[in-house]
Amino acid sequence: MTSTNHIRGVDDLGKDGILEILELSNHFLEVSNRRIPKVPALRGKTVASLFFEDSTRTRLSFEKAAKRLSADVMNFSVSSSSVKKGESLRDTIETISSMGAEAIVVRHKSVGVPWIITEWTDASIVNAGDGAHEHPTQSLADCYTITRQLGSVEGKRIVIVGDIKHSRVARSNVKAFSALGAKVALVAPPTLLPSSIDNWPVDVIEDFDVAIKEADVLYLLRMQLERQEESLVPSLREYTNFYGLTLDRSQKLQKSSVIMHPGPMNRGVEITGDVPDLPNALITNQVGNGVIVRMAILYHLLGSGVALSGLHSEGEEDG
Amino acid sequence: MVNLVIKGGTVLDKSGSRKADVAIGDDGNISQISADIDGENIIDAAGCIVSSGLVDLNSHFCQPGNEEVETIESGTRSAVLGGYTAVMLMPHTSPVIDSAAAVKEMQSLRSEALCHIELSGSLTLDGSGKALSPIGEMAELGVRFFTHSNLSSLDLSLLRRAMEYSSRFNVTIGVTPFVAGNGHMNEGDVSSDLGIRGVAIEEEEILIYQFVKMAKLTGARVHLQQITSPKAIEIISAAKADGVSITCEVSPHHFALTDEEVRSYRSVYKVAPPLRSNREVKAIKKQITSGQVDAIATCHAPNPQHEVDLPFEEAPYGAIGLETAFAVSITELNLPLHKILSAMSWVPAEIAGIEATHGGVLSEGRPGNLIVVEEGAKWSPSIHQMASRSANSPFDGHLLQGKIKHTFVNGEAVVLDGETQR
Repeated sequence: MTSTNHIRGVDDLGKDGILEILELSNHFLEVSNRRIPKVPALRGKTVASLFFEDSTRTRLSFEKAAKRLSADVMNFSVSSSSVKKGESLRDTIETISSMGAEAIVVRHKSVGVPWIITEWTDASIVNAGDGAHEHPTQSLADCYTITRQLGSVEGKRIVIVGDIKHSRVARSNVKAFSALGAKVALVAPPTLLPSSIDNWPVDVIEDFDVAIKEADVLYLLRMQLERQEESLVPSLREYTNFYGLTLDRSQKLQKSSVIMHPGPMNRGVEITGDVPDLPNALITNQVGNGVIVRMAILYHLLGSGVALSGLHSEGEEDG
Repeated sequence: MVNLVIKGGTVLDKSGSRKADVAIGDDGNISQISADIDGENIIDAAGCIVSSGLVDLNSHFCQPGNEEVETIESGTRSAVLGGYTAVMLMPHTSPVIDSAAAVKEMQSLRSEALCHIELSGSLTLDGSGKALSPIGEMAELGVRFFTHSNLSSLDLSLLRRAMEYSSRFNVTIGVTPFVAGNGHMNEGDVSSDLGIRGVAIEEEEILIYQFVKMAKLTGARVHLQQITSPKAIEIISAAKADGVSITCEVSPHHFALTDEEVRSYRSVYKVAPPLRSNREVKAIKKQITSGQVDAIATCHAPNPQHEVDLPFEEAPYGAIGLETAFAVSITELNLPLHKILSAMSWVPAEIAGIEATHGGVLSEGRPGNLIVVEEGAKWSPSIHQMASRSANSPFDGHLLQGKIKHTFVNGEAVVLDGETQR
């Protein structure tokens, strides 16, 4: 069970909470496969999405999930809002809250925003990414993708490759994967590893070509192109040489292993050529599962009192 | 004529401790210290310690320029409630205190202060790190301390010239070993977990090493502000043993709090230099106990509520401290009171050059700059009750020990029973 009615970080759920969301996701997978993939579970509820940082896929994924649950969606995008006129975060949250929103999905460039805003609203907070800190719903989608493909996360060797230091996906995934019993390994140039990860439940493997052989899941992170301008790596070409998944390198993967990436991909940098189109690349599965898992998340937070078994799609008969 | 008598307390000063009453004359000076003084205006100090008022070496009030956040009046009100009878104001106001005219404006504001304000000047014009301020002209107006806040804009050769030039005017140069913009918190386990950009403590040590070497090279008197690194303090101690004219201060938040606080994401824990790890905090407490730290200074740096509400990475640095510093020090440092008074009153008065009127030994004829302390009293500060106009206290709600009962500035009872009198 969740300790709070928020999903700000993976720790708001813990192992049991994650498993509960994955279990719920199976129900919504079934809903999504219906002819009319829409149920009235959150009818009358409002989900506000506040993206202070540009995002397309996460915002659309939440929007689609909320609409499939028949929730009303309030979209607040910074580029066309009063934030541009200097409105403070607190005023924005209190305004949205006054209009009435049961859940606020928030993305912000600064660490901790999903936590500090709980002081200013009674809504359930869902973190859609805070700075380099956490992106828990991506992790839940990834856990679900791995579970569907490989049966479970437990016991799997998951190798995360790339810019760990600046990655909220990596931080949430390390927590979520290891909570579920995976053996997580990190591969990154030293300048893109956090300074102090002795307490993290991970192995650090220097050589990608060594790590790739043991991977059940090879999880590539997006290489942010500005990192090269900061000289955190000498060049993108060198990065690809040492840390990119080329077609050649992908031959070293075990047959049963899978390739994942949270998107958006830099083709030609962390992943090259036709690798994303290999049959064991789950990148599009991750996107599809993202909607299903976010349905489960919103239902988990807002659906109390609505029985799953009673969720029939509009216009469909019982049974 | 005796104006008032502080009765029933134990006088504790640099010369030791004794049961005695203290009488203050109409001129505001101490007129008598002895047993059983009588008078009409008796102020109760039974069971309390009577000592010289505290002296802060590092206060930021926002006047002129940002009076909404703090003024001379609200800042000194905070100060006297916290037991300070003198505060040295940092020059980074708007405009910066970098000229004789600016010094004169500040001097004219002294009438609004509830305690003595000692002025400091900016080493460089507009604090921009590009050109030296008229240090001599400001020194002639009584400024004895010069400092620079933003090391990212100061090249070390200019700092060296400032040290060389100022040695002629018998002033002290203050420097804080922190480059703003390099990071938001201590680099370590917590910054790695949170994904917040960190500043390695080694950066402070490297800067301190440079400052110490430069002080030796130029012969300038240097005061190192807001030290957080135990290794830096070792470097400073070694330099003192080598005869370098150097002193250092630490801030209560740096020995009372660790970087673990940042896990709350609250910007009141964003200070410059940053809160360090538990290991370093423990070590620095030991160094304070062993006398390697000269002074405890607040770095009282007010921020308004709307900036406190900002996310950690976007919020300005700074925390207020004048109303809590003494109690935090008593609570956190397992030290006899005279050692805390030494670090918060007697030594800072000497560093500020105001030892003739503040700190040190209480004796007849000296100005009545005194505090009466209830050493064992427990209390809990509340941000809503503080006199500061700002909201960024990291000790809001903490349980503290040691309370200021009365504060006297030049003989005037400005605080009685924890309440300001004007």
